[in-house]
Amino acid sequence: MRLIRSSFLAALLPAFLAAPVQAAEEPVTIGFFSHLSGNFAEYGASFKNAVELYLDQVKQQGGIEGRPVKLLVEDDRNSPQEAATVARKIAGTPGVVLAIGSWSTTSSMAASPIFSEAKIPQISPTSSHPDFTKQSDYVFRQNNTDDILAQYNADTIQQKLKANKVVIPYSQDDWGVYTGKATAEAIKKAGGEVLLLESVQPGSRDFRPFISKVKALQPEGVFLALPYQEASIFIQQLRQAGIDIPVGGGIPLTSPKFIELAGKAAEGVVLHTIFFAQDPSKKAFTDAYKAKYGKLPDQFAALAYDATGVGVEAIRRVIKSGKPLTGEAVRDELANGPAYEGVTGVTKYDHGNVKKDPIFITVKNGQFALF
Amino acid sequence: MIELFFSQVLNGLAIGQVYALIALGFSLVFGVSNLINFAQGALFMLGAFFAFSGVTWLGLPLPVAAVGSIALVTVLGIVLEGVALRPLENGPYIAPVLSTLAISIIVDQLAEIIWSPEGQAFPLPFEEVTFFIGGAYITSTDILIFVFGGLAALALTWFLQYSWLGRGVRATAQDRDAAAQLGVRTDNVRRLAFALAGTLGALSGILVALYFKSVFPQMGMPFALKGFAAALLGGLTSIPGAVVGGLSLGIVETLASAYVGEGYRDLVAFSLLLVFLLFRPQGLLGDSRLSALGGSGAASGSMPSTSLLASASSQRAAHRIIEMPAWGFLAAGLVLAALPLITQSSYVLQAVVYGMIFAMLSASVSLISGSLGVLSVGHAAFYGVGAYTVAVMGHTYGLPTEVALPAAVILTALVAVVASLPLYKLSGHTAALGTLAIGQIGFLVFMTWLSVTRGPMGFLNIPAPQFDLLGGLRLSAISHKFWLVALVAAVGLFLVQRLLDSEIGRAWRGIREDRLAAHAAGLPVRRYMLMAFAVSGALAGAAGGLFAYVQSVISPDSFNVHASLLLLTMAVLGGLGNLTGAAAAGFLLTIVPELFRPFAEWRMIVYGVFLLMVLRMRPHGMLGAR
Repeated sequence: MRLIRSSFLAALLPAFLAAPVQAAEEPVTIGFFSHLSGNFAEYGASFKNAVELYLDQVKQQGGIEGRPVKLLVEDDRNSPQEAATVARKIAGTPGVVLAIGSWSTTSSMAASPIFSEAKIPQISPTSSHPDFTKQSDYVFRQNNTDDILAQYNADTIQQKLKANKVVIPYSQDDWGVYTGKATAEAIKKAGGEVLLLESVQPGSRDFRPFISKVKALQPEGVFLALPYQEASIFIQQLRQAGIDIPVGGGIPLTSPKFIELAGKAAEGVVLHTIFFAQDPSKKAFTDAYKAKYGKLPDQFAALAYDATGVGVEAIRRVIKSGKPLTGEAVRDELANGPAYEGVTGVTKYDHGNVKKDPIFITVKNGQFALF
Repeated sequence: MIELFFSQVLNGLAIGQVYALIALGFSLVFGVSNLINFAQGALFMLGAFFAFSGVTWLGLPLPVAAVGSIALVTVLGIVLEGVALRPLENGPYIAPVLSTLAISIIVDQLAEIIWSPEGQAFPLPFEEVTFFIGGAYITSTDILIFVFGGLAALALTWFLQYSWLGRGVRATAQDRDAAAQLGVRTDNVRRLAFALAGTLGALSGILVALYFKSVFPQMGMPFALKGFAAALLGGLTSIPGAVVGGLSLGIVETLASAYVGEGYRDLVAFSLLLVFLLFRPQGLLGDSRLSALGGSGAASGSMPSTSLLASASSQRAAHRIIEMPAWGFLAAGLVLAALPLITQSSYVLQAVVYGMIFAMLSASVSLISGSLGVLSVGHAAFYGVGAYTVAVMGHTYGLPTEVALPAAVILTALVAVVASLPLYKLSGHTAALGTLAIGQIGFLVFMTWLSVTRGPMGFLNIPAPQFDLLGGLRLSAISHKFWLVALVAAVGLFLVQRLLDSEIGRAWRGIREDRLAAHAAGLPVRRYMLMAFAVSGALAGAAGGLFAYVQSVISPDSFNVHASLLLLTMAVLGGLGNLTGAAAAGFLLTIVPELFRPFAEWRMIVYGVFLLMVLRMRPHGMLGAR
């Protein structure tokens, strides 16, 4: 019913009601960039889906305070060079007051100086490296920093899984290198022991040498600081070698693809997240997402959805205040605005950073469930 | 400890047999047609995905899907030969190599569109069992791979040794023209080799999918690289060599992972490969009589000269060469320098700046690959050294541009010279595989040397170019950086063109055409080769340094194998050894794809098709190889 009504309205509104009003108003332009092709493109697709879903809903309400919204979509192929190029393109388009992107910290940071120079605020849904928001006043994020996440990682393995002697394979990428080390420190600080902390090249598939080492060390638990593709193969090979110790993981493994790829080996893995699709209080968002794209939103989609929400609300406040709509005004509203309650928790910016509480989940019968 | 060692060796054998299978298909094609088949990775990936689709979409049992997939990819191998090779038969030797590269670009991208870029779970038809031997273990899948891989190798050996058709294949591999004169249908033999490469590719793809219980559209390239390395290690044309090479590579990298660290696995493997080639360029089981110093039989097979530009008839077809005189580069730089006065759009300026940087890079590749005749598939390593030198000096030590940029040029030249040492004893396509390893080593060093390169994080906020000698002149706006790039590119290309026009350039081309003859004529071949690498490295280093300044952010991803391949295709499209062509191709192929940005998914496909068409119609490149 909901679906029928909303699509009906969506079809009607522009034609009858909104069109004459909107035509008179200048559109609000938002730039979006992430990786829509190449490796990990599914994450970028989640981003784009969520941003478009939110803006659809804004359109149904007749735009932001009556002004229509225009979205620029650019593909940065998860490459810093491309990100810098598309950032120039977005920043060079007249009327852009907000940029959302990108997925990896490196690409997001390649774009930041360009947006800051053009005085356009940038919200990255997922950049978690602490340095990201230190760049300038125009840089914001939606998720916790790696320092906060590292603490949650340690909590997952030590408190939830009761393992104190831990091995940590981490991915040799911008996220993994920092996370691996920060998590190891957090574990040691809480009285744990890290028996092995070793990097894995992105795209690695054969972990048997690593696992033989794990076997010889006899740890109590494994924490996977790996993307889901590597993690799913790692855990399969771990179980294959007859190692039955508990396994914990971070945000990347909350993707449903992790369970799909790892199969039975994923059972019992404990993860922390700030968004859980089966949570009844997020039903409105998950239902709308599922209706439009035929699958459940992942955490990346949720973060991008909130990034758009926070940004649109800031734009709304600028328009309401009667001030001219500029990137600078939107930045001020983002930095000083009230707390925003989104699907991933509360956003209240402190120097561009947020602190959101973790939810612990586990894999049970091939499904994510609250732990 | 010793138990751990043995379990690691067992792990190495398990993954090594996978490499051996891929190397087999590769060696077979190399032996018969003297061609690096870059599409071997694509065949491998397609084999896995066809079987996957058969099982999940059509609901077939795995053995049926596997047989169907192998049959299909075998046919595709024949089609590949028809599309990539046949029309280019009398073109330069390099043309078919690049045409397999173009096809692999197209296929890889199409696979992402058809099956989505995500990995998918590959359903195992049986419950997996693990057998423990003390601390070591093998799984039922390992045994399955071992049985099928072993059977394939035995069947292939039997076929090549004892069947008449197999004798024909071997005869063709040894000397195609002689075999043809004795009545062997060498065309059919070559088609057969490609068909078998498809069969082996598909088989190994399916077995790898079973091994990892998943399939990825991007799985082709990394496994193809390992397959190349294994084949090179084994001796390229030798069938037992491919098996031994694959197993050795597997063991070496497993032990590297066990005792040096998982993150250093590939770095150690590729470095050892290069060091090994220094001492035994013909590989483990290669034929030492085929000295790489040229003469009739290059590294293997019957290549009449070491020149990549020579064609099968050993004569250079006449073709028009369009070239600018050296001062033309200065003039072009001057014209471009006016652009910031016309437009203020930083997007346009940035695109043109990248265009100029890639013009230099493409010219640098053209110098090595065209003028000197060592096909470079690893140039991104040099490019990266330049970029990282500027980043480290500018960012970490705060040194001004007049120190950092020349340092980037000199250091890259030195690195290029050192890197070229193992290549000296290799020739033809073998040298190309050596450069591939150099490129991988460069990328992995940028990735793992955390204390200097900051690893995957790379450098952020590299300061804008600043000249202390000019009273602290700072070029922070893109239009100012534009002028710096235009100046360096114009002067750099001018100087290199002068070199190519001088007797040094003539000596390089002489060495390319016939290394042995050059040697006999009294040319100090090694010295000239090192010099060419130094000049090419200097140019790449300058481009890399400018890149770091322009982008102000660098990370290892900009210097991976795909960047190297892109640079090589640019140089080839322009016309190898033709600096004007290389610069023009590098410039245009960087800017034109910007126009296709909305069709990003199809961009690489269009690129691949364009490359194929140019190879077909102008095998010597757009402006003619020199």
